[in-house]
Amino acid sequence: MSGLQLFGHPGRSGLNARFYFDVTTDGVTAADPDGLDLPSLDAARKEARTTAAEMAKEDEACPKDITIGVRDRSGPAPVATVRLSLRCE
Amino acid sequence: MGSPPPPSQSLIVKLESIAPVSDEERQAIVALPMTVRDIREDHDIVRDQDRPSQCCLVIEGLACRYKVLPGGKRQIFSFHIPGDIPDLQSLHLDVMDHNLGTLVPCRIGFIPHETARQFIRAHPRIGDIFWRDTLIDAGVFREWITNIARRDSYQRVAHLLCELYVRLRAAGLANGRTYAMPITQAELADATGMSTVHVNRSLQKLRGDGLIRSGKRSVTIEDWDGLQAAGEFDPTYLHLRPQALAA
Repeated sequence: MSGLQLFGHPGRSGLNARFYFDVTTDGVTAADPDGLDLPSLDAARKEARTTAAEMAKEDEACPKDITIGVRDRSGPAPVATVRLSLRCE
Repeated sequence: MGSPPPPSQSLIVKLESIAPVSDEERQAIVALPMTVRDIREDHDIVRDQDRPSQCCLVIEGLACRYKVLPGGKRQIFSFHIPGDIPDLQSLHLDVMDHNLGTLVPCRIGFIPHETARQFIRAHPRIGDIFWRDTLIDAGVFREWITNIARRDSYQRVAHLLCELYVRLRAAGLANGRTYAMPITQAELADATGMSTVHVNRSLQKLRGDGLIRSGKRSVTIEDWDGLQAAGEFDPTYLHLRPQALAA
């Protein structure tokens, strides 16, 4: 996965922190090597939540499990995790 | 080698892409007085609630029109390339109902409203082309509403990449299948109503499917038919003349 450099730099502000969003869909993980600059961990959580919801909305597969692990520059362990499980009964 | 093209050259190319322009009209456009200013990136040119006294011609760079909600969320609803006059409506609507800002450093030509009015009275056919341009502007908004409201993320991004390519190509600003794309993914997210991470994933999929290749600030279309199919793109709404569409 080559990431957010596609259209230039991921964010324009030097004041933000860099967060990385590793998306796991049905057991397959796509690690984010580049990350995204956001103002806070709360903003990163919100970004992960929105992404998971948008992905679930578009994917017709059911059941569906989406996990987004949010990392920062401090290390490989997630600083936040968003899980979305879709069950159709 | 001749002298550098006049600042209004981009406007001539733009108008000719949507309607025929006579030699006399072309000369009149070249003589159209405007004040040229360089504006840094991420800077508002005209703001919501302003009462502008002039119109802005994009000579170089890339601008966008957008609104910001009270909570801070931004919606970008159009991108503007050289040759565009994004606030042409201010000629008839006194108060701005949205913002116009730069995305990269831009060269902008400011044309006073009174100058523009006199120009249109002296050259009514160009007035007709301006009218046509604002109607096309509305067509682009109809397409964007449909794109953002009803297509999925992969389609939305593909559609937007198709539109920018066709418009830049008509303006003579594409290099084969490659064009400048100095837009961040966050800005692309604000234009498509998606999260930035989701935009990133859609771009990866477009690349993975062999439809596009990307440089640092450019895009190369690898499979034009495939990209159009992915975005359900039909350029009819841009109302370009055949020679501009096939440029």
